Amino acid sequence: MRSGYTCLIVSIITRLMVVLLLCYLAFMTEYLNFKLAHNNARLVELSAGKPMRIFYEQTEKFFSMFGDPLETAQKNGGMTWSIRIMGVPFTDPVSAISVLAKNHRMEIGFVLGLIGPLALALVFGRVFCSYICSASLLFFSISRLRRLLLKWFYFPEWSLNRGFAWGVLIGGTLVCLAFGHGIWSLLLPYFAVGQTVFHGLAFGTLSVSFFSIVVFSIADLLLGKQFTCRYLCPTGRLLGWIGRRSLVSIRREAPRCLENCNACADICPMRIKPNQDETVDCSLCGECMIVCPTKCLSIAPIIGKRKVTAGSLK
Amino acid sequence: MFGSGYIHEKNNSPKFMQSRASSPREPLLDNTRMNGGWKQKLLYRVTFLKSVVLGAAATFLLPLLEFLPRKAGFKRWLRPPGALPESEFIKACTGCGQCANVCPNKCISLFGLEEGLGLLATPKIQARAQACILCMACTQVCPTDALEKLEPTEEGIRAVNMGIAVVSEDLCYSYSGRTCGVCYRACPLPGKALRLGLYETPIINEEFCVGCGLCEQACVHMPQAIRIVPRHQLNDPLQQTEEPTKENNRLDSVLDRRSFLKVRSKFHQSSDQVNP
Ligand code: SF4
Ligand code: SF4
Ligand code: SF4
Ligand code: SF4
Ligand code: SF4
Repeated sequence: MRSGYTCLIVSIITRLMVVLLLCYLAFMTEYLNFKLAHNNARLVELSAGKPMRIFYEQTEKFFSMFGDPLETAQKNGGMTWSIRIMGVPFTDPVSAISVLAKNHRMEIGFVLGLIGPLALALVFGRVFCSYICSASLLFFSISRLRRLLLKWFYFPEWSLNRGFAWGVLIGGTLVCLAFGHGIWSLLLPYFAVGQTVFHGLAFGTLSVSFFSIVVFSIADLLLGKQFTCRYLCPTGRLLGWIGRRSLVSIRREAPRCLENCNACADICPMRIKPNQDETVDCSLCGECMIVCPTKCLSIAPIIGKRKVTAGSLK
Repeated sequence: MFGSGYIHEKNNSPKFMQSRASSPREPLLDNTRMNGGWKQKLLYRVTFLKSVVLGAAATFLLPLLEFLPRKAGFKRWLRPPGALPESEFIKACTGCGQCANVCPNKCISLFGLEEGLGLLATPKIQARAQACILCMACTQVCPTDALEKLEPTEEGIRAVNMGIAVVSEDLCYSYSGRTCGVCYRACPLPGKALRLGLYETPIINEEFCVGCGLCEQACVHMPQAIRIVPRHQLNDPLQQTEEPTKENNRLDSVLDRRSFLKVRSKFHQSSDQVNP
């Protein structure tokens, strides 16, 4: 694929869908409640108003397509941290690590849930970060805001070594051993978003995770574009590592690439250098394809040896 | 010249302030891992390890949240049915929230920091506000089997252990001679878990009571005359809730009452109009 704009639009749409799904799952409890308590659209309207009736009826109609609406509804649930969609489980690799460390045993459904995310990472690399992660839409918007503000203000671009995120993974697992898995709801941005959405919509309360989202957002705005994703989020690091030799990644046609151009490396939110054939950590966001003046970058299968430079760990 | 279509971040800043890492000509650590000498490789490794340690150290600041001042919370929370013993449950539950998501009764909520970091994001039930109806939907969806799978049959219900109900004879209407028996009618195991004595006085059989809290939710006395002592307090004499009287557990009943009224007004007020 050659068009960066396609990537951009598709990624915005898929991430919006994930966020909407999260909101929807929070409301699903409401649907189940009415389904079991009333099972009657008119009663729903009387007790909760017209919008709820519309929500109830549409949900009912949608789930009836798959069989019994009650059973189908119960096949969906969770936050992006661990989620079931139509009964298919998806498990977060970080949650698998923390369960393995603390619990010493894994349930079969939990292990099966790992297949999807791992396969995705092996084929497309860190694609989760640009197309699925529910926090990344927020960080994407903040990086755009930062780019805008940089026209008038100066924020230095800080960098850490990417070992930092490995440190967060190790430290988080140790803290999790001493306390509980809940620590990840403060450390993982997408889990924090899931918690905040669920608490906000289902219980009408403010989750503590909201404060960690605020901290991450401020870091992104002031310290560097997608600072959280590059240096703090253990999942991004893990998926980047798993997908470091992914089948599909960003490919450069070297003869057409201009010397001293560096446009792609400057725009890349992951701060990798496509002009040096670096692909580790590429999330296929397509920003570099948009700015490349000669359009020599494309998303394509890469076969053969990868170049792993230290730059990808910066 | 070519890059006019995008915003060149570092061009907006004075030269001396430009970030080292994104400057194109600077060799930096690039390619050292591939081409550099052993000194550079060592330097690279040391930088990397330093960052790992730094990252882990930064994470160790999180337990400081434990020392945040927090309001005295509601202690008599229950775990959803089928939950492993508390120590095991803590290890298994990842706080995914799927149980809270699927509960059609809206009785499961997730912990914030009110009970400390250890319980963060795990599920809880407040019986007086909304008690579990033992539909067992949550036990079917838990991905880590922190909630063991149970069926909503009598056998499944008998396997539940959330706590044990305690009656306060000071408060209960029936014990003061005004026949009530509402809790008996709410109990899913009537005649077994909760038997009635003379004037419908509730008598709990601890062997059968599963601690679902339906009796506590239903009790018509305010504050409730029947309460669940949760499983996690049963074996802990220090934490054990005393038998509720008007004097003790005041905080408990105030909290209960507040959430009770809130939930009631939210979910049931309007349905009262449906069935006058
Ligand atoms: S690095 Fe983490 S927060 Fe950032 S997009 Fe990837 S998963 Fe989401
Ligand atoms: S058994 Fe049913 S009512 Fe009780 S906590 Fe689980 S889902 Fe909710
Ligand atoms: S579904 Fe299981 S793992 Fe998830 S929050 Fe509930 S008890 Fe914990
Ligand atoms: S006595 Fe109360 S807590 Fe025990 S089973 Fe009956 S309703 Fe549930
Ligand atoms: S509902 Fe309350 S007041 Fe009535 S008999 Fe039961 S415990 Fe006593």
